[in-house]
Amino acid sequence: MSREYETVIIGGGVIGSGIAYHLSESKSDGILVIDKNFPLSGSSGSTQAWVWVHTKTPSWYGEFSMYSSELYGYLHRKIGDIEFIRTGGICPFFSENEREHAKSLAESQAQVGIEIQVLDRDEVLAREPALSDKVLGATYSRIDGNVNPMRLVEQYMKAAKINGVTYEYYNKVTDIEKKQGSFLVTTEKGLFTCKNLVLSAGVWTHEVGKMLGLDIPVHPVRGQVMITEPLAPFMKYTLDGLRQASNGEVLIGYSREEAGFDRSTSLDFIGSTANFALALVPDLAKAKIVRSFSGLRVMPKDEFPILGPIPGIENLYIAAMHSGITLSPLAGTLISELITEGETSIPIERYSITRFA
Amino acid sequence: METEVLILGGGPSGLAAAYEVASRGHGVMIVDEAWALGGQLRQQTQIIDPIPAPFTGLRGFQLAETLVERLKEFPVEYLLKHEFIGLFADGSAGVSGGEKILRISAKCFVVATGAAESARHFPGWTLPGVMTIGAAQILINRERIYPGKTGLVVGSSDMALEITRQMHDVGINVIGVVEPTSQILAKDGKIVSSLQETGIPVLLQTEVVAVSGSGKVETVLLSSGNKPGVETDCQVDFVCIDGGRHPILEPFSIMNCPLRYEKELGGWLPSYNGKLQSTNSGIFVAGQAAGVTCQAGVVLTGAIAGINAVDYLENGTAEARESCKQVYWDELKRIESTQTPEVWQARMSHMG
Repeated sequence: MSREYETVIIGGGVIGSGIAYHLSESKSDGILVIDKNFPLSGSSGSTQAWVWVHTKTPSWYGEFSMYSSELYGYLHRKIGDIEFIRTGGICPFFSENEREHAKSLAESQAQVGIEIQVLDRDEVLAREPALSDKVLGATYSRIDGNVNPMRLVEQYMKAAKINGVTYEYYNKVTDIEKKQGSFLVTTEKGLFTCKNLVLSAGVWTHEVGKMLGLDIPVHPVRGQVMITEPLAPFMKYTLDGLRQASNGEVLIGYSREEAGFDRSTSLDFIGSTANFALALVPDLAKAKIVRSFSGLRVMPKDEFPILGPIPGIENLYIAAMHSGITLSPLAGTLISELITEGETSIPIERYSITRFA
Repeated sequence: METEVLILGGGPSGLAAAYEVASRGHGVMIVDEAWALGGQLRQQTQIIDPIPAPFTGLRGFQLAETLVERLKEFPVEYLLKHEFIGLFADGSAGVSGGEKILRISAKCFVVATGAAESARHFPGWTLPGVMTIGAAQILINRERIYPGKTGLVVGSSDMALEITRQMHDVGINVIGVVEPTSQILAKDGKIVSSLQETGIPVLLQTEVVAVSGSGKVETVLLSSGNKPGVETDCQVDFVCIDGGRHPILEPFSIMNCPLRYEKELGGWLPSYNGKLQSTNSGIFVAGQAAGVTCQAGVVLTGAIAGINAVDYLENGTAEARESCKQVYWDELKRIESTQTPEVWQARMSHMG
């Protein structure tokens, strides 16, 4: 038995669900999202969930991130409360050398419209008194913020379902074939056919691509995050490396490890993460750590998004990227435009998979 | 720090496991988050029955003392007031007393971290004065504090009825046990009749609609399936929740042990084979962490896991150990399959 859809999206994380929702705004039905587990069980549910722009370089990538961040201002009006807060972002520095970098960052980002202030020590401590007084300064931009990733994906899913999108959970795609203009998507729970196919399986996109004979250069990079007990609000801004959530917990993490798909945590990294946090915010020495988790960053080979049509196979699209939380509204919008109109409102050729050929 | 077998949990199963390892000449270290050994037995004042020899006739806290006492002749190391908080990349364990992290490298682990009580939820369940039934037992038997003067128990398992009786015996007015289903869940006839002697009513098909009060429990509102639409007010100053128990899973989550759901064993628990060995080969599972069961089951699975840990250290088994294990398995089968046949069956199917 085969079930027909116009568009099948493989992967229901923040990118897949974002695409499903945006596509469903103009297409009322015929959209299916298949997830091998349950949305939020992968990378989207294990993140600090910054909506982060100002240190994204080169500036064309910063600009891309900024566009997406700007869409967040409207997103909650469409899909409901996602606890998005534009806190402003602070990236502190501790050496004179870094001050020079900060100045050139501010100059280059200004050319694409990202406003960055280079704060001196007193200015940054006035803004965020919790920071270590060893800080020499910081870059600051009001554009940065954060979001509740659980709410974000849930609200995408809810809104998408209201618009007629179908979800298949706990159903792994095992094979994909293209025949007479249709994709035949074989899953553990049967066959689906569709005209358009979107690959948005996060760290598993490489595995899914192999089913179509593609070598999609995406691999997992582990990050460990530790979480404090809920503390009275004492940090206003999203800092590069940690933030205080609205429930008072502080999320801390910066590790980057090559560990394949292993999502264990290790005390070696928890220890160095704790030291990192103390150097930044010394008062955290008094906080109790209540848990930690690992997440797998979706890392394309050159670290930039892979987004757009896949040449050579008609109606096949890919959206695989790091910073999926920041980029989901834009990625969702652009892939929807491609499917419905055949072109995008901003150029995305730079992000084409063809750059790896 | 270094040891051969690191035992997580110093309750009855961890202590039983330690005995099997230490008495065979291997090094053992027990880590427990509490300041005393014995786990949940420390507040059990009833005679533990059934329990295999040589432990028959002992009250719970005496069983704990006995299990601790018989380790005294061996060089067992103890780390109390410490919690297992994670693994280092090389596989050694990190335990912490709150400030520093101690690093312990072990050849294998016995995880005997027990079970936690599950809550039942109703409006007002977070008010001070609402507690689990096990917490009430800790208060009366260990801390010698009354949880309140007049209380209500929600749920009717063996554990709940046993503790209700104990509350009655120390002079607390328990106005009733309410049970949402149509029958008493306790399986032990002696426990049920012991409660009946007190005259405390068990109200079947009755649910808590809400608990209310200003800053503490004052009133509980009940509805009965027998009288639909009628809600009854009761004045109480505490409410005990008996929501059953479930294996504590955090250590298995840290150690990446695959889990499986077995309703009769308390829900999610680590997968393990006939050696009580997790899918990660150096990790043995014992006691309530290996499935919620009676005290005999807790002690026996601890002992079996302990011997299996010795086999693991010695890279093979020995005849004497095999026959010892067989005795424990036979006892476990005899007790579990008569007391709680569904637990025994679930355990067999879980081990595959």
